[in-house]
Amino acid sequence: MQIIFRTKNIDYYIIKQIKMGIRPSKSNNRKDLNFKITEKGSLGLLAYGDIGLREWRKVKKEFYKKDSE
Amino acid sequence: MSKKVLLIGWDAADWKLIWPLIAKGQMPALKRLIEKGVYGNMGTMDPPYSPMLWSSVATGKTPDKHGVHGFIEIMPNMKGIRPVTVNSRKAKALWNILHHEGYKSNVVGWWPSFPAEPINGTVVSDKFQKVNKDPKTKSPIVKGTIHPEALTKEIHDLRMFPWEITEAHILPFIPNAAQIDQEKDQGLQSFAKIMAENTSVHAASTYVMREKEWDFMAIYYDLIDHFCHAFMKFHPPKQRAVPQNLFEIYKDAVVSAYRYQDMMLERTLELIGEDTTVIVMSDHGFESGHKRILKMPKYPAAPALEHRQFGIFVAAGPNIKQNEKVFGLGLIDIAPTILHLFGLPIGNDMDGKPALDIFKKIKPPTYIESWEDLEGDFGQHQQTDEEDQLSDHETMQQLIDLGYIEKPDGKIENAILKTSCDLKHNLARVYSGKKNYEKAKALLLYLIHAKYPVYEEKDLKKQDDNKPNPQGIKVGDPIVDIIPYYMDLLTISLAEKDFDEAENYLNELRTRDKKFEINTYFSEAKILLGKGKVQQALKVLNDAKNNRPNSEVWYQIGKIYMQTQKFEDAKEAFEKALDFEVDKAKFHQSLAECLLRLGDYEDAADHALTSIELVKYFPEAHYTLGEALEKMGDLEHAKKAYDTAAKLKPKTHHRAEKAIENVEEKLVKQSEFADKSDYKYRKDQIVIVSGLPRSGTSLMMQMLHKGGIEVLTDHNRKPDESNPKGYFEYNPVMSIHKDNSWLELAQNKSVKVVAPLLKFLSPKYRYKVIFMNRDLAEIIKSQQKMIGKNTDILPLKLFEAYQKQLKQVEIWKNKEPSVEIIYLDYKDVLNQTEAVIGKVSSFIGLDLNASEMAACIDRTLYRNKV
Repeated sequence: MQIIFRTKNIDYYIIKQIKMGIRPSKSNNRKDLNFKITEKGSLGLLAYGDIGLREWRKVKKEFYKKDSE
Repeated sequence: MSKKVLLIGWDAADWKLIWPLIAKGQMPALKRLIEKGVYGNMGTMDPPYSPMLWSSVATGKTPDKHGVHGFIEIMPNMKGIRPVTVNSRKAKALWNILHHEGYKSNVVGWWPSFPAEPINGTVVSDKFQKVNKDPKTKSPIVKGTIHPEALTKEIHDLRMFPWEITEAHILPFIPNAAQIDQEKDQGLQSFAKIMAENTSVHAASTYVMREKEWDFMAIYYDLIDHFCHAFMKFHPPKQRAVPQNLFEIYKDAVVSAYRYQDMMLERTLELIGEDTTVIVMSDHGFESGHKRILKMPKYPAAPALEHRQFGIFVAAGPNIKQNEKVFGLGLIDIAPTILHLFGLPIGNDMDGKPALDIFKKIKPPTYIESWEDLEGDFGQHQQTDEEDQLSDHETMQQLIDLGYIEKPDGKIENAILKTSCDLKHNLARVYSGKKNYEKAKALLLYLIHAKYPVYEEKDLKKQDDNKPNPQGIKVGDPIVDIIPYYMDLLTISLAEKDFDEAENYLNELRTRDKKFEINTYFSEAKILLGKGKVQQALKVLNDAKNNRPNSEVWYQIGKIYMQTQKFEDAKEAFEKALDFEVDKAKFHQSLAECLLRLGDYEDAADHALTSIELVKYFPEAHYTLGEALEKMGDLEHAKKAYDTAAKLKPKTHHRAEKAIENVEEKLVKQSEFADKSDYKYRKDQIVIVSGLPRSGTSLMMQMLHKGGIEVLTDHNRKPDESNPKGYFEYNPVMSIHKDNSWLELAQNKSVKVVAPLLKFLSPKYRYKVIFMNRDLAEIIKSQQKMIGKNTDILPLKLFEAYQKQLKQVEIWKNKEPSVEIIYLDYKDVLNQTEAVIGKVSSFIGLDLNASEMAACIDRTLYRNKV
């Protein structure tokens, strides 16, 4: 397996990921994910568990669908 | 009490990494949990292999009882090997017991938990997250991965695959990842695999937490452990042998893993209510400082050498104390503690104890004989699945990559034999850890004497894939390496103080380990020390220290200085050991003992307390604290410390018991005895007559004999010109350093023990020591005459040696609680006989026949006056 990099020297850290990604919430509601998810995803989404993983995959699927059209 | 418990396992999490991150605000979720609850060290067990340890967490039992003995197991049909499964576990896990009691459990990722047990609740086993790294190859979820099977449909998409990892996931960990030459460096592939697997575990856990009812939830992550094995060598401070470019690329990887783990914790904690008790814990720590190993020794599971003794423990919940540190927890205490949280009885056959210290309100625990014997439905498998489906190439490969297991032998029968030996070896180490040396030795000797097939040319050709053989195996070598078994036998011989046997094993090791790769200087020094060759032992350790200083070598040097009563030197050595490793309980305890001898009682108490903070179940540290407090005059607390030492010891702590009696007497009498003697008879006391040779000890023995005290003597040494009335000696005294079991015979009798041998008296008995003093010059003159030397020449070295021995007796009697002592001057015995007899009689606490004693005095025998 070879991991391909599209971007070089991107320098951002986990804390930014948290800010960009998921805000802590007491609820289980997916409406908390009211920020823009990109096809690349984020650590915050993975750390959010099942909901984060599924929401990211939806965006990714849409992105690559559009990409191929 | 709370009836909902969430147990989160972070394999290898270590406070050494966590505290700085908390200080920087980079592990906020764990910080909040600590502030809400209790935290402390979690003591690991030997061998520190994760499947064994996590099975102990789940069962409250040591591996000899729960049956998980390693990373791999032999398949039930004996046709192959595979990663360890739940079939190896012979004891009931928490979730089995909770099932029986009507509670629902969710278990995710536990190692081992495949095949998923049919419990009331859900099990997403440790096979769930293991996927094929090749995107073109399918990774079906095999039968037994998930219970109930219907859940598979709901969560099959929650597995993350390594090829899904993007730069958005990598760059926060490895900002310079683009500089990695992926042809040569597999770092990113390891990263992707570890991240994907742990994300899968986390996603499955958040799903079942949200969607399924549960009373108990257990989640296990190996993120930190696997990151440490892959990237700890690059963690700052940079080690000299690590190339600068690789250091720059990977230096933040480990710390980032901790931060990602904390992000996952944040989400998990959002999914629980105030009624849930949360426990976050690890099974061991991980070396992050100078003890990191860059070149791993070539034997199975060597990477576990980097596992540190202490993991972490954090608990918070409705009945958990707030922001307090707790002490002395072990992995085996978790299951009893959780059973207690559910109000369920603890099995008497469990090795752990409930951690009652963590609770605000303590409810007395209840017990049953054993959960194992109870009939009924415990949600266990009915029969062992013998199908080959359980062998798992990916999992095996990961264990190989991590270095936990060797690449299985091409010949399946060899692989099975090696696995069988590894499992037996691990079990021997468990027995050794439990100080069951007989069982450990029996297994190790069996392994050593077994007949093993040897490698043939075709075996090696199959293995090497044209690469140099990493194990250095040659044709004709036995397929099982028996050197590790000898190493363990050597360790056991040293623990049993069988120094001849230890020397045999050391020689055997040196013969077999031709390249001399194994460090043997500790063993060599211990053997030399055991055989009384103190200076040689010190030289071996000093050479080792000069070659490569480390905490353990300084500690051992300190121990030798303690033994030779060079307390200032010992202090310096222990302080050096602490400079290298500040959280080692035994270093603090030894320094405390040293400071006691130097009269610095406050600092001694400080270090003893630090030692107890690190390891609560450390009887010697409690005992040393008791000594320090007693010296400081705090008798009440001293008694408490001695009480704890006496209670903690698996064997009776004789010194602590005697010290408790002494303190109790002092509390009643409110007085100190100037010469450390209470003039009262003690049941089964042993009267010891001691002194330097020719100081009047035979005379005193004769007096006691005539006075009515039975003498322990074998009459082997006949009266002669030097001692015409007899020596009253007992031959076994000469070898008391090897065997002091005969002391039992000396109870209610008197026995002669020369000064240098006093230190070998067992603390088990009470001693009344009558120490004969005589002018040193007279003693030496008398000795010179006895052996036919010139009495006009006084050997200065002998004079100094005797002075040193007398000083050692002073130190010895001060530290031994079972010893009371009076000093009698030889001249006083001759000239003030009546007063001396009165003192002796009163000291022993018996009415002696004074006139018969006095009749023993023959002043004509006082022949070497100066």
